[in-house]
Amino acid sequence: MWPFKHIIFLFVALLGLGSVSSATDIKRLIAYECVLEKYDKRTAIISVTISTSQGRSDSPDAIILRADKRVVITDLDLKNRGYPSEEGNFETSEGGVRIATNFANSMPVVLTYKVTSRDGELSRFPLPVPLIMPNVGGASVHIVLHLSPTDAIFGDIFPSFKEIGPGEWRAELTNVPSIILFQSKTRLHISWRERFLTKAWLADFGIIIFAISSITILYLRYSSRSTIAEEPWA
Amino acid sequence: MFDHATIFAVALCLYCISIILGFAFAGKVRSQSEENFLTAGRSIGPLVGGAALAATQISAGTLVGTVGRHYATGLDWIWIWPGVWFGWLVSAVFIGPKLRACGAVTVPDYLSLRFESAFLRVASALVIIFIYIISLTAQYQACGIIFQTVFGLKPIYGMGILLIVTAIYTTVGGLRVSSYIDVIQVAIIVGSLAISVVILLKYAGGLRATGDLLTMLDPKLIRGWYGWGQIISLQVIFALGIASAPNEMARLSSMRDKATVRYAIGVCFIIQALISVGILIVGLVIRSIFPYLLSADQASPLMSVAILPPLAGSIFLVALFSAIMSNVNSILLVSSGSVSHDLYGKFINPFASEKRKLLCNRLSLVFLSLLPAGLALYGFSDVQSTVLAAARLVGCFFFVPVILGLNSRFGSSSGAIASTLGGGMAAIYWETRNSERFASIDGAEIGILTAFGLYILVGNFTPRVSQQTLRRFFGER
Repeated sequence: MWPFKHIIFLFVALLGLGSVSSATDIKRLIAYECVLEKYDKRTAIISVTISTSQGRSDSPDAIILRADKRVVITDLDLKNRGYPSEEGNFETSEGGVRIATNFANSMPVVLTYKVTSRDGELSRFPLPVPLIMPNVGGASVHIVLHLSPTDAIFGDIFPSFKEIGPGEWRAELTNVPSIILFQSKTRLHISWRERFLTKAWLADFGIIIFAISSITILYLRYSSRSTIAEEPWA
Repeated sequence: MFDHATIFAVALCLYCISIILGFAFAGKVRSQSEENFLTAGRSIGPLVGGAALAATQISAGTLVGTVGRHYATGLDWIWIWPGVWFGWLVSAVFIGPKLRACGAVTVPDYLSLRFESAFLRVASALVIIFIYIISLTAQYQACGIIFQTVFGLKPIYGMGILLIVTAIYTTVGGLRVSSYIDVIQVAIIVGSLAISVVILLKYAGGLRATGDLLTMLDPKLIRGWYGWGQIISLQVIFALGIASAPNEMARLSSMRDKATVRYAIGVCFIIQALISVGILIVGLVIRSIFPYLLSADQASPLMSVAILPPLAGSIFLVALFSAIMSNVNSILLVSSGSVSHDLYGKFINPFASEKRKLLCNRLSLVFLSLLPAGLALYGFSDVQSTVLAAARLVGCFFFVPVILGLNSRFGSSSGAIASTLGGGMAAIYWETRNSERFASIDGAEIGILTAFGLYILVGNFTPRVSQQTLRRFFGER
């Protein structure tokens, strides 16, 4: 059993080394307050308040708002409470809108915009991404979603939102995503198919089926042969 | 119901326990001699061998580092794969089957037999240990990033778990066990990449939407990040690193015969083609969903935690962890083999019993796994850069004497020593001193030219190896 004693000793030594390192201290937090002010299946007016605990990052101050063939972004409005007189400089291209702004003195930036779906129900909502980076580790980014109190979200949901009150949903992430993804309906009208027949659930279900069938096949093969090495393909 | 971290923790525990208990102890029964431990009794077939070759090369460098490079630099990093595949081709035609046929157990073993030099055995064993400490550092670093991203823990804890699990199953199992574990790892990696690609594309709105956003973020992500000179340098590094990697050669030496080696390399090609396309899409789509990460190496662990559903994300993380384990395992086997077989067994104590050599192998394995873990705590560079540095050194130290020694009767002991040491030292000098001035020329190119020049030049003016040795490698003229 000699190797195990050495391994345990080395692990303890390594833990000692690690306790003096401080790699995960969070220095910059980004808080998001994302409110769907109006939402009627094909259009939504979104208001996003972005607060950072530290401005003037190593990147140029700007916000990227993702565009998509299937959604149109209009009626952009930017308010920077740190610099109320400054108006955002909008630059639109095929991939989205780049908005020059100014994150400073921890003052929040508020961006309001209208999203319209070109085909079917709106489920992919572009989110403004500031060109500043939160630190690694911990939940540096908080996204709060406000809907009607009778509504709930369903389908493929990204990021992983948790209900914190009637019509209020919250997600915690380590970085800022460029989209949020969900569908919403009156809670009572959501069928089990809409709730469970999503890509995410099907992927997890597929993995469970694959794991069970693999274990069964391996068990059946092993029970008839003694080792893998005797398999013809091995 | 359960979050990613909980499911990952449970899946990882189950995976590690099943590997250690199920395979490692089964392998102990078979690895009774040092040679059997290092070559799996030369019994591995083409499918298991191909998966083992792929798993040995698919490491944290691929699933963390390459995804990170696609994240940071866009499409262009895909051009490294022709270099990787050219390396495999060279290995399949000029190196693998011939090395397998000559019967050497390790690369230092081969070099010392071919060039009749005990010094070359010791020098190459030390070089292998040095290079693989660098390479292991990248694996530990990636493991730390995974645990930091998933659990918010200090990297040290992830490294500690990796250290314990890999050291146990490598110590107990040997090459046969790790080859079978590689098959499972490859299946998990390919399967989880396929699921990830489908879900990522659904979330991002398809490849077109991803491309449009990437163009807006930085047109170079789509139109080209690197110049052709840089791309060729990268291809050279990967080709040389693959063709002459001692840990890949150890896998080749475990196969049944020359034909099996060729088939296995073909299988490895197919597996790597699937993986390369998968990680390209993963890297690009994550950039479009999370445009600004503090470290590009965070991309794939973040995808598992924040984008994929809990079970699929956890399986991908287990795949990541297992790829790291597989690579650490193969590197530890080769490095500890260099200590026990080449330094201890042939140089320090040539009359050592098999039991004593096996003990030396396992002891060195435990100690060699600790040093890189300590180095990784300081995180010198991103994962892919560290992997590149190790691949560059492997190619510059070993490519010329291995490929020329196996394919040409020309060569002397002094020429091989000069080529091995000169090539590697030239690359190190170039990278540390001159890379700023001539940025388009990589150390690998300088190293390989130096090694080739020294092999020919010194080989011309010094005594050749004996006819008896040449007959062993090339038969009668």
